[in-house]
Amino acid sequence: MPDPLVTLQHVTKTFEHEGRPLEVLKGIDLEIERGEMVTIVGPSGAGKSTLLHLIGTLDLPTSGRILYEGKDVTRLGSSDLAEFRNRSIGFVFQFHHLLPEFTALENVMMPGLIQGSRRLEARARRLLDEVGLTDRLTHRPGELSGGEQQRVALARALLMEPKLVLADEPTGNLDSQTSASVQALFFDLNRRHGITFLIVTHSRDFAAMMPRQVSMKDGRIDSDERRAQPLENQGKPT
Amino acid sequence: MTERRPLGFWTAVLCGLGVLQLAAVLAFAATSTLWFQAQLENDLLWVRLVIGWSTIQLSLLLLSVGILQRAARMPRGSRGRARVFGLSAVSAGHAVITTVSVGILLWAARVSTGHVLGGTVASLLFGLTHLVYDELDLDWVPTLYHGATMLQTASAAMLLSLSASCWFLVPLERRQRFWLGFDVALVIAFVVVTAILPLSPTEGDDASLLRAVIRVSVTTVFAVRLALRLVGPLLAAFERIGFRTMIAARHLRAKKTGFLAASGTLSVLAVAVSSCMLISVLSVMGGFRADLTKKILGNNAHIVIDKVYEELSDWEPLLERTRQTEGVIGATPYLQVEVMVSSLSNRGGAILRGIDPDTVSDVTDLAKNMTHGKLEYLKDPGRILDSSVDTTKSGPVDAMMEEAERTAARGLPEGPEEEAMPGLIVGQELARALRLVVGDRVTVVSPRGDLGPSGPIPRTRPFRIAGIFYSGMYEYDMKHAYIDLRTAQRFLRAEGRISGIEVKVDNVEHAPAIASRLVSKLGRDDLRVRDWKQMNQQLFGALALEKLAMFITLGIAILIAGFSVFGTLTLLVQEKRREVGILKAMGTPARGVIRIFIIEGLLIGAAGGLMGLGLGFVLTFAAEHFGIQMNPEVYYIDKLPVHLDPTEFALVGASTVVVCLAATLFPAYQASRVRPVDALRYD
Repeated sequence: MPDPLVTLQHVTKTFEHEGRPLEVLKGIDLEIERGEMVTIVGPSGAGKSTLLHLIGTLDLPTSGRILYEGKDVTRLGSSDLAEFRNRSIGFVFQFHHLLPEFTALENVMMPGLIQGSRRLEARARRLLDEVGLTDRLTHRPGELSGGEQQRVALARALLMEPKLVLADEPTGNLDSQTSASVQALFFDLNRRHGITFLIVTHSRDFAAMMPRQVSMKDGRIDSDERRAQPLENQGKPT
Repeated sequence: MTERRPLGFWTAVLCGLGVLQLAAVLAFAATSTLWFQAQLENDLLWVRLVIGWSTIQLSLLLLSVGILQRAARMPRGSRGRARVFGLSAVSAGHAVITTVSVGILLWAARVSTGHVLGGTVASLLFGLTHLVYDELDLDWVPTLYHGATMLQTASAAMLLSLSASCWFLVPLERRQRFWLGFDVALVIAFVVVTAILPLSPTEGDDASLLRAVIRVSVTTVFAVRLALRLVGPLLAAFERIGFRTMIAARHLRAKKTGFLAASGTLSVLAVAVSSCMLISVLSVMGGFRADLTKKILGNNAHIVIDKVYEELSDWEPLLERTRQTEGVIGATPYLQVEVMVSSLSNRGGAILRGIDPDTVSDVTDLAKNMTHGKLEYLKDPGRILDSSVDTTKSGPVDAMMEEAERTAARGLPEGPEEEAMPGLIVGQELARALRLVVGDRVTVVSPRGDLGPSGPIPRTRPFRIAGIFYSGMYEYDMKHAYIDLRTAQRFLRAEGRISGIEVKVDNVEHAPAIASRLVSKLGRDDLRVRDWKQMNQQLFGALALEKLAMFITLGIAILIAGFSVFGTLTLLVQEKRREVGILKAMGTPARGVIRIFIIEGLLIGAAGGLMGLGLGFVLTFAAEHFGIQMNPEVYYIDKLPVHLDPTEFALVGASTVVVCLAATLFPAYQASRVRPVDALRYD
């Protein structure tokens, strides 16, 4: 049996807060298989975002290991890590975090441009087409609505064909209708391209639709439930 | 007032009037020109002036009050309300002040006999106009007018700046249309001007100077507009180079928050001003050096052959052999000693040089530098008093001097012994100090005296001034005197001997090489051969040191500009923290972030440096070709010397880039240290 896509072994994270150590993650063990859709739920301060940052290699764990296909990424140097992030991980954040000076198309192409690759324009156009923004290519983020910005961010996350897309409350500041269409997009992309998603969300509806739900409490994993094919019944947008 | 049409028609008219007002104040300043003064004899002109001026002022007043009323009715908070309000208020005030001050002025000029209006621009700006009213016996006029003038200038400047600020109320597309028209006109003007106007004025021709000034001004404005037009396309091209340049260029093009925009503009200006200052000062110092070199080379030989402790006898074969040396184009013997020259009124020390009038012109510019008298009189002193031979002609002052020369010559007794009196050429300053004109008698006292009963007695001999020269170097004009070589040998008891040989070479830069060639050709160890650089080593060394000191001092100005770049970049990094976080999350390595911000800093530096060097080039070019007058009595130079050196431009440009590069390093490093987690977490 091949290694799972991501394996977390006894991962802890401690922050210094006003001189006192604050243990945010108290030993997390988690495995994520290829093509899975996982959601992390839990109350505020449970360490969901911190866990996501660690998996996304934006931050390093205090102890424990994070393995991608059996390879420990916590030991990589900063530029190797940057390269790894660029090629293997896509991010979608709550506040979409697009670069304001660039058009939608340029924003989507940005991960490729970082690599110095200019041949990804066709792919960026296709991705924007796929998220339904064919006629918004030359708009700047300021000229796009919240839902449209989030779609651009999703297209950007997919540009480098990453193994894993991490999303931190991707529908957190969208209205319910826009949320539903963005959520549908996630499922659609997962089904069609087999992309692995790890999504932190506060939305009960969204979490309920996900096939695997990891709930966190106080820096530990509280429960890890898998449901058989809930997608078929609930995945379609209304 | 809506957003689309924020600027009403009458406000635009008022803006136009604002520009007109400053022009009028400046034109008014020029009314003291001779031409205008002559026109003032015409009484009708007075009436026209008064009526015309008061009509303009009254309509300005009415217009501004009208607009003030409209502006007051504009909804609060609408764009440009404050500006229109301020504009109309200031123009109303300006109209009142100007009417009053011009009224006083016209009246004062009318009752005075001198007919002096505004005064020159400078006197107007510095409030010195009242000085010309001292002749009028009215104490209050100068004071009142002085105050009114100051107010008038200040309000005109305010009016102009408010008018200019209203420009930004004009809708963008109209502004673009205006600039398009302006640029088209400018291109046509540039082509026309380049085709028909000269770049350098001919000497002493005011009309050609004006034409050259017009050409340079049009070319400068053209270059500025071209540069502004090119900024966008250049940055766009720059973006296409690669990812990092793309981010950097976009950051710079993006609209920034007010403070950062101001700081960015200021740092570009700081770099521009400091590099412009540095290059201008270096060019002027280079000009002084070039001027000095020219004068030194004109008055001195390029190479001097002499002995350290004694004079040369048997020098004729040496002279012949020197002349045959490759690279030598002239050689002449000289005999030199320090003497005292006394005239009837004064006395002064001088370096007396016995020269060979036939060959001295092969080596130095003495013949060319003669302002009175002639070099040939040294050989034939009898011609000095024959004023009809004197053909040296110059301006009215010289004519007066010549007249004085003739009178002096007539006043002298014409005896047979006067025929034999040898000629002496002195510098202009020595002539002034001793109050000498051509034909005067002077006594030269030599230290090489005879032995008398009570010790050595200085030898004296009368000479007649054969000519006066002006070399442009105070030291020479004050200290040097020339006589014929044979006379000198006899007078100094040095028959057949000389102090040395002066040599002129074909290329002054090859002088050291030719000097060593002379050493081997003459083959005599007792001779000392020095080139002009060796002889003036201390002078040129001091100049070089001064220039270096100036470079360092003004380089510090660039350094301070570098601090400003540093500040701007630090702010920029702060403002772009979140975006740096995104870029890093997407996999930009730390060194990529460093490079982005270094490029941004370098772009700021390059923009400033190019602006500064361009401005410096225009300034120095204008100073070199049009000439900045200087008082020769004070500086001993009549025009500010300027020398443009491409190496110095490159050096200043390079140091600007280096300083800006250094200024970017720390902020860029700071940017690279931004942790994406911190940058993304809070919004």
